[in-house]
Amino acid sequence: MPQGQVRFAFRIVINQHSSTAWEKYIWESTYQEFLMQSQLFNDKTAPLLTFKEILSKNEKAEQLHFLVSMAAHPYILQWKGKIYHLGDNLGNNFMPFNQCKMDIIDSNIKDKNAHEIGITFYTPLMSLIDIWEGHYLISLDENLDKLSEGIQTLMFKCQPRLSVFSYKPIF
Amino acid sequence: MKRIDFLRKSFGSLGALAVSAPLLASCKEDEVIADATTPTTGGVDTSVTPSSCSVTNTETAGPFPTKEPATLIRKDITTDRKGTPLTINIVIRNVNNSCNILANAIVDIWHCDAAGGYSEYGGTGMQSTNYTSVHFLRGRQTTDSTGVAAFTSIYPGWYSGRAPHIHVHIYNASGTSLLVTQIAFPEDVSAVVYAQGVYASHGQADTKNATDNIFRDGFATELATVTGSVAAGYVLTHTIYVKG
Repeated sequence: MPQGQVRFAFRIVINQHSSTAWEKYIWESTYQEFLMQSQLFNDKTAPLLTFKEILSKNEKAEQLHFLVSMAAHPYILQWKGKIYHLGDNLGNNFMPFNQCKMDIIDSNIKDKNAHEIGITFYTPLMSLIDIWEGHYLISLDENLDKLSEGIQTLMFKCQPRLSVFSYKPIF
Repeated sequence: MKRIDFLRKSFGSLGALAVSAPLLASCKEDEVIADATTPTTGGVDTSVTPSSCSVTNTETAGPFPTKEPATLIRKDITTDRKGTPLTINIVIRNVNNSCNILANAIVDIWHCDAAGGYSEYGGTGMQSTNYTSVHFLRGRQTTDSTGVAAFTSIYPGWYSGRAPHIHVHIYNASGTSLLVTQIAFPEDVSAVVYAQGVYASHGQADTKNATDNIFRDGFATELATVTGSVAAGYVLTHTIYVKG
């Protein structure tokens, strides 16, 4: 039974093939930041090339996910709490988010085209009423007490990279 | 009752949703569509479900994006942290140029808050930090023509096993790392700061500069000059020498 309070997670991947201006800015900006910050964790005389290599040699390089995220952060703020890559079935309502996390998938200090990151957005608590024909039927209201009176709902398509990451059933 | 009828009836009465336990919801469209006859609503035939599909492109890609520097590039790094105000003036000088000041050097600093915590995302699991205030007490400035990079912050707190400190990473103008170092604090000043305000509940630092793992090999070149008072705030001045 899908009825419950949920939070969704939605992840986007940004790489050399990303097409929107917003994604391209983030790609450029996070690569420059990676070049600078990775020096903290890399060998000065014989630097390793890729993020994965640096990480395998120095587990503290795990911090790079966070440190590099500071270059993506201004662009995430421009979205003002709405995930504009996650429109509803109408196409003009967007899933809200209040937390997010960036991760470096891989990068290379000599090859910009290898730079690839993910950004995962986390929504606030909301109500999942049901799943209809491949769509999550949700209410942004986290309280379902008024369900019998009728409440405003939104429909978001079930799709790759959209997951329910916390779920509390309503009995 | 056919599944599609059940769905329709459920939709007609939202109250019925509360007892929709038998409805095994699924994200697979074909399960839902399977036993439906051709819908007649609006004369649109939706009976054929494609074997695979992807989300329709939206017209709105989001607000018009504008190019912006990393959040790190800011003079005031306080954000939402509370504490005694601290102005940080870092002077960069070049060992490779007769100890003259080094303009256009990029200076990153970061330090912990009054409770001893750094801004950083948690582990790999669920996040507990609001996205708008995660990057506290970290900043980047470029040295001016007098070799100074200035920041506005709060007096750093302390955490177990370390004397109070500020981390500094200096790059040349093109972003190549020149030096990673730390700034130590005069213990008499820290003692006054930690006795009051938001610092008081955390108490006095448990590690002296002389016994600190990082500073104990000699901290003369890492010890800052700190002047001021709790009421007026403090000013830290420190010179760092790099091979520019």
